[in-house]
Formats: sequence, C-alpha cells, structure tokens
Amino acid sequence: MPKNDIAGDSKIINRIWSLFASMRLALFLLFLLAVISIVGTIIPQGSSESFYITRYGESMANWFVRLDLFNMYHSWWFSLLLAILALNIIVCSIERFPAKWRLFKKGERDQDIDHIKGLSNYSSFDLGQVKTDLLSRNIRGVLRSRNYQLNDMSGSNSYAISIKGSKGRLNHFGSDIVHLGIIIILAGGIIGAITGFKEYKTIPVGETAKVDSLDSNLEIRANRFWIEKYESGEVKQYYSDITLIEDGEDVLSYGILYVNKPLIYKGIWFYQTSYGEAWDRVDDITLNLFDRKKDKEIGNQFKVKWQEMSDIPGMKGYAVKPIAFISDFAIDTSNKIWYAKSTKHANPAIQIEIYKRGKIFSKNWVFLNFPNIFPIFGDENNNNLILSTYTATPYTALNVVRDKGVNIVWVGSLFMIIGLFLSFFVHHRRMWVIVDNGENNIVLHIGGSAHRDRLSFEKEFKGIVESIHNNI
Amino acid sequence: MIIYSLMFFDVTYWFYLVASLIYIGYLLTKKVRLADMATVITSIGLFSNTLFLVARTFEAGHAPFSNLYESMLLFTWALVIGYLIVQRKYDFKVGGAFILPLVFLAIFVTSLLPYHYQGSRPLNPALQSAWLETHVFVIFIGYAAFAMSFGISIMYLIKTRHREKGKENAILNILPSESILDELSYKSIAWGFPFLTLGIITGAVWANYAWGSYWTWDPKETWSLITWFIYAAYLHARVTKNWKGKRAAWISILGFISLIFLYWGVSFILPSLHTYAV
Repeated sequence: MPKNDIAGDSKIINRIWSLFASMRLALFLLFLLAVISIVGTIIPQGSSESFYITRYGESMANWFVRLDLFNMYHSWWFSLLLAILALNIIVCSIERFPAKWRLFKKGERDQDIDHIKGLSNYSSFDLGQVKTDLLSRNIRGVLRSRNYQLNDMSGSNSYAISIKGSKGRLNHFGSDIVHLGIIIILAGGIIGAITGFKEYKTIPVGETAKVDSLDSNLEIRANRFWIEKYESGEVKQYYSDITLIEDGEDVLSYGILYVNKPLIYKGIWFYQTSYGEAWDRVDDITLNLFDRKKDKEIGNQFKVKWQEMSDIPGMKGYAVKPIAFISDFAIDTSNKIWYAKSTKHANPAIQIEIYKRGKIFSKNWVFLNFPNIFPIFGDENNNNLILSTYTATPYTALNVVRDKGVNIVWVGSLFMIIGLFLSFFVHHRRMWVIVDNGENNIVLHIGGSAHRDRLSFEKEFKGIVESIHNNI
Repeated sequence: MIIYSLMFFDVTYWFYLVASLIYIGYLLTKKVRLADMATVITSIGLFSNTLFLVARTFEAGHAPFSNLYESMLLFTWALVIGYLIVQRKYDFKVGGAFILPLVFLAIFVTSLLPYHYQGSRPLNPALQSAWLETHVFVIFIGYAAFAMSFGISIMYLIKTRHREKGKENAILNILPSESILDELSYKSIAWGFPFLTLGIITGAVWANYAWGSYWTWDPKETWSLITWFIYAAYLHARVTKNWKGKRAAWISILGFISLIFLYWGVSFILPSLHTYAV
C-alpha cells in the first residue's frame, strides 16, 4: 500500500486505494455497466444523424450527439467506465493476492485431536486390534484414491498415526486467473482498435478496389462471384474468386473465399460478407426500336455491352453507347439535378450516347419503368429507343480486416476459462486423520473441511469414512 | 407422412405437463410415491425430448439448433437432465414442483409459435459452420443452469417469507432449508457462469470467422454481456457480507429476466445480426 510522509496526502491516497480495493465498487460497476449497456441496444447505434432526427426529434437527437449516444460503446465515458473496472480488478488482486500466496506456500496446518473434533465433518471409531502399518496404508490408499496429496507425520508426534491431506488448493487462484484474463482481453481490444483497420468493400465483378488503410498499394480484383442454392431456392452459400495485387503485381491468384471461410494474406483477413447487384454499372443492356406514331415496338431487341458502341439495327448510320447507369434514379424537381436515391434497383436508368455517322448526336437517359419518356432521336423522328432489360453486374461485398489484438484476446479468453474451471470445478478440501493409542483402546479420529461446496464434501467425507471402515 | 419431430414434440409436451402436475401434487400431499411417479414421467418426457432432437436432425439435415423452436427443445432437454441429476444427487424431489412447471412453460410458449416458425429450414450461409453446434450447445447448458437457479431462488424466497411470517405452513415445510436452497442456487450458477462465458467466447470466435469482428456490440452480443455482468455481480455479492441469501436470490432472478430478454426479446424486438428466430 502506498504510504506517504505527508499525512493529508496519504489519507486521500489510502481512501482512494480502499475504494478501488472494495468489492462494493465492483458490484456497483457491474450493475452500472449492465444498465448503461442496455441503452445502446434500445437506441440503434451507428446510424446517420438524419435517422435519429427523424426518429427522436431534433432536440433529443442533439442531446444524443452531445452525450455520444450514437456510438456509445466507443465513447470516452464508456471507455472510462471500463478503465475504472479494470483498475478495480487490478487493485483488488494486488490487495488480496499476497496473503493467498503466503497461505499457499505455508501448506496445511497440523491439527490435534481437539481441533479435529471441532470440525463440521468429523467421525471417530474404536478400533480393536489393528496393525498400525496396515491401517496407515489403508487410510493413505483411500485418501489418495480421492486425489488427496498427503503428508504423513506419524512418528513426529505422540500419535500412532497422524496424516493430513489436501487437494484443490489451486481453487483459490481461479479468480486471480480469471481477472488476469479479463485485463488481457481489454488490452487486446485496445491494441486491436488502435493498430488495426476494418474496411467494407463492394467490388463489382471485373473491377478492382484498393485497400485504403494500408501504406502499401494492395488491390483486390473480383474475378468471379457465384451463388449456390438449395433445391428449395434458398441461398446455400456464395463465393468470390479474387486476385490480390500488390504494387502492381499479382501476389495471390484464384483466391476463393466464402461465408465462414475467410482468405488470409499477410495478416490481413478478407471475409465474404454480402453481395448484390451493382448500382452504378451493368454488364449489358437490351434495347429495342419503338415507333412513336404506331405506338409499338419495331424490329428485334439487340444487346449492347457496357460502355461499348454498337450500331443500331434498323437505323442506318446510327450507333449507341451506354455510358452510365443509376439503379434508383431520382430528380430534384426544384433544380432539375438528378441523383441516386438508393442502391436498390427501384428505378433503373441508363444514360446513352447516340452517334450519327461517327459524330455524337445526343445524350439521354432511358428508363426501364418509364419507356418513351424522352425522344432519343429528337422530336421530328418517329423512332425511339426503349430499354427492355439489362444484365445487372453482381458485386461481392467483402470485409477487409487487420486486427493485431485478436490473438491477445484469445489468450485472455483462455485464461478466463482456466480460471473459471479452477474456481468452480476444483474444490479445496482438507482431511486430517489421527489414530491415538488411548488408555483402553485405539481410536481413529477423522475430520475434514471444505472451503466451499460443502454439500458435495459432506458426501465425499461420508464415502471416505465408509471406505476406511470397510477396509478394517 | 408423419413428421416425427412434430409428433415427439406433442408427446414431450404432454409428459412434461403431467409431470409438473404430479410434482405439485407431491408438494401438496407429501406422498413420496407421487414424487417417484413424477420422476418416471419426467424421464419418459426426456426420452421423447431426445427423440425430437434426433428426428429433427434427420429431417433438417443439420443440428437442431438453428431457430427458436428447435433451440427451446434443446433448452428443455438440458434443464430436465440437469434437474434429474440434482434431484438424485441431493434428494431434492420437491424441486420438481418448481422446475418442471418452468420446463412446461417453456414448451408451452414454444407451441404457441406460428406455424412458419416450426418448420425446419436449410441453414443460411452464416450458420454453416461447426461453430453452430459448439456455440449454441454450450450457451444452452448455461441457460438451463441459470433457469435452475431461477427456480431454486424462487423457492428460497418463498421459504424465507414463510419463516419471516412465522406461520406454520404444512406445505412449505417440505422445502429444504434456506441454506441448502442458497447453496443449490449458487451451484447452479457455478455451472451456468463458466458455460455462459465459454458460450460468449465461442460466439466471438465464430463471429470473427464469419463477419470479421469478434465483438460488434450487436444487441444480442450486448445483452449476453449484460446477463454476464448480472451473474458476475451475483458471484461477487456472495462473497460480500449481507449480500448472501435474499439479495443473491433477487440478483439470480434479475439475471434470468435478462436472459429471457437475451434469448427471446432480442430476436423479436431489436434488430440484430442474430435474428434467427425464424
């Protein structure tokens, strides 16, 4: 304990130390953390500000921003709470460990008959003529079979036989190991948060995305994406085939990843997280000519590949090239500026360039849901182009993660499991057996004590006494 | 075509109901023959419960752990096994009058689920992992242990109230002493807590493999931590003066309420990556 010459300071430090060494603080913190954590499950975390304003009103939303309630588990005050808990754990351990260790090193005390008689588990019986060494072997055998470590002190005192046994002494350190595990986990979490990164990348098939958080130039090219389905039609699994390109060179080809099977490269983990249809490009479009006067389609449908020019069959000299795609087209009526409303394919629109005899003629949007909304070839021309369908470009959605603390977290977890096992499944029990050459007869005194789990120990004690008795 | 799992579900339902009633009859009449009969009926119900899980595995092609309907029968299975062991080890027959109704309540609520919850579905990509069996199984041993503690804590509070009021009540005399009830409640949590911890850890390992992050403060994850905090508080309270006994019993009850929300509430009320109810 920290002591100080200056009386006033030392008093305050002692009081703070006592506070952090107290179980009450631990109880308080555990309940506080439980209650506060509930808040973050009721108020959805990590959404946009407009979401909260819509849901809770502007003034409430402002309070939420001030208190950092949108990302509360990463807020300074939540981290502070965890830090206080960690400090509480550390101080409690420092306070209690030395005495435990001393006791552990000292070993079990010897007991005399009077003390043994006072134990809650005690039995004694008269023995007739017994050979001491046979009896001693019997007792030791019974105790050993129940995993007691024995200390035979017969001969060193006045009793004919004097044996003490103990087991499960490690039980007392279970809590220390659990607590150490918790601290290690917190440390691992902090290290991971500070040194790692996590990116969500949506990559349309055929395109490449760069990992932003790295100093080196690492890119992911999505070569293929496919979905496996059950007979019932539900999705069974989905796969990506990617190539990793580092500083311009292919460093990993035909990398396959799917859900629950990430791809690992140089400590960076690539996870198959989701998929969808690209909202800003397509593989190809299918157009057809439409006669505005006759009000029907003429000719045959024809396909045009993305950003490639194609002649328009039935219109000599004209060519078309799709240059842009918006999956959910919307227009701001106040300033006539168009924008993408969402990533869903709710209102698909393709922007096409029309070329007449090699020179650009017009640029226009065609809509899947609103054919003929604009005359592509101008008002005088009866012909128009309509969008019949298109082939969406699948994209694969990956999480790219590097976490340098995760292995530390697993080490801490292992400590916790070991510590919990020691705390709850290993029981500290002690037995003392004394055989006394009394005046008239030889008496065996046996007593035992258990620190915890007395109900089970009572049964074990009865069993031991019975076994010894039966062997005589 | 008989859907065997649904048939075994019904059998289990009725046997657990009858067992509950007979155990309560034992509580009221103290006739040991009733307790023994209830034990037999419970065991048959357990057998049927087991057959449900087996049949379901064959029908679905995967472990019966993937939705609320299946997991509730895993819960009852674990709780009944745990109870029968405790009953035998500590001669705790009267516990059946409190635990079996809990078991029946669980299967009763499950039976109320709309039909489309009851069908077995093929596993979606995120669930296709050996971690499914490991994580869910471990968690449910924990749940069952906590449910046991909950039942025993209720018994404790009833016994305490009975003693405090000073009235002689022939029915409640049959309950074990407060210290035994307190000890049994503690032992249940001494099983539940390590398994809940292991469950959270296996969940984190799995999440790291599937989603790239071992902890995202997802509502299900957060509520498991909340439940963990409460039971940790229980364990620390027990080594604090004045917090044993009654206060500990209340914390155990609070922990179980949190657990119910963790298990059912999160699936239905809060959005989460964990909405596997259906």
